[in-house]
Amino acid sequence: MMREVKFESQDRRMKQVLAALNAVGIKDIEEANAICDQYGIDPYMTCEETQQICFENAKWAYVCGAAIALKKGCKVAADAAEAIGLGLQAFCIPGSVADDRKVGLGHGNLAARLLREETKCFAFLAGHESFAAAEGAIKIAGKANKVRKEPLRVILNGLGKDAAKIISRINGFTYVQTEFDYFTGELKEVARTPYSNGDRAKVNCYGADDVREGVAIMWKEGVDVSITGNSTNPTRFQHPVAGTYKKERVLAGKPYFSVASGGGTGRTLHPDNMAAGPASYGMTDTLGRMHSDAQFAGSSSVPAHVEMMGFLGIGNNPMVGCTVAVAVDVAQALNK
Amino acid sequence: MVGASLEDLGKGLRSQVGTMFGTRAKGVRYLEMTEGYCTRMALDENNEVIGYEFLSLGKFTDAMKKGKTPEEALEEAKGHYGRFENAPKYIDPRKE
Repeated sequence: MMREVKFESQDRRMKQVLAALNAVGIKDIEEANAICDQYGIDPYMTCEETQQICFENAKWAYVCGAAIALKKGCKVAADAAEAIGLGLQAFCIPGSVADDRKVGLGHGNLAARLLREETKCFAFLAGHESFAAAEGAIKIAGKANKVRKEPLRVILNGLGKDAAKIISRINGFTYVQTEFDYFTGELKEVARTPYSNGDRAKVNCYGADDVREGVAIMWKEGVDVSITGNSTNPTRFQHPVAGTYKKERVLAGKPYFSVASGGGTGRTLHPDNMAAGPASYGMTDTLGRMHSDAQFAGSSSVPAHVEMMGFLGIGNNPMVGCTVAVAVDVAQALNK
Repeated sequence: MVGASLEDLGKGLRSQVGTMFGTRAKGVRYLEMTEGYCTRMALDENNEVIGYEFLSLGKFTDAMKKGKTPEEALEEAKGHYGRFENAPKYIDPRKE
């Protein structure tokens, strides 16, 4: 479908966007749109469906990304995701936090990971403050499994057993109650309660008492890819768990792709986590830099905040879902 | 529109203080949540909370300003969270 190409901060983005399109032989955004049309996919609409309150620039970024992937002939969804990342990256405003961190490429690479068979388990490392992260996880797994042979396992690993239980009960996940033996370092499963019968019960939700138990949970599930939430407890749980697990996986010669995301990256900590005093300014940012393979900028959910960092007006969690969805569409269109 | 925040807050959001409390005798009650004024709570077979229904006062007020009837505005501004549909039991947190 042909629409008028008009989006937020267009003048500050156009130069890089055209350069990215021209690099694969596409003249302009209109032609990118026409290419998507020709293959019968509508990334603009997919983006809008993923997060209704997203900005226009996000929708057009997916049009450009999809066109690049189509033009490159990415028949494998994971390759398409990486190509879409090129399109997203082109929408970063030069000199911004998003541009500096290459978040567009990061998003493409993350989606590609989730689509590859090598990735068996995807974890949301959370302070257990966020229910939206859980909803995001369900969507990612559902769409990714359309092109995967073996379904992607999705888990939530957060601080606090009570919170994990409530999140499981409200969302219909399976609550796995564990107990960590601090003498032997052994993790025992105490109970397992599914709170629904459907697909949601396939999501395992864990609550840890501390960092050591959190790391043990990662090993128990064999997590290959994770995202850290960043609002509550980031310095006490998510980043230390991701960092420690990363070190242990490297020592064991196993891969682990860690993504630092959420509202705290790129700004200061909120009052819950201010114990570090003035050093807390940018602390989650620093922690993320120490263990992450990709670092996002801005909120997991609020479009305006991600846009403020010089990227697109769409939350980071929906963005992961949208990249996976568009990549699957591209691969399916090319295999017709 | 000024800045990014109005693009968000212009969508009927407002600042919020949640109110919920619990007693051993009667269990937990949600009165005011992030999304709005809590109208009903959904319980499972064990009488544990699995979801809630809310009225978004921002959306309700916006609809009234546009000249909708109170009944229409009420319907439009209602929403629910969690496994609210087909719950075994619903309660009014203020009365039951």
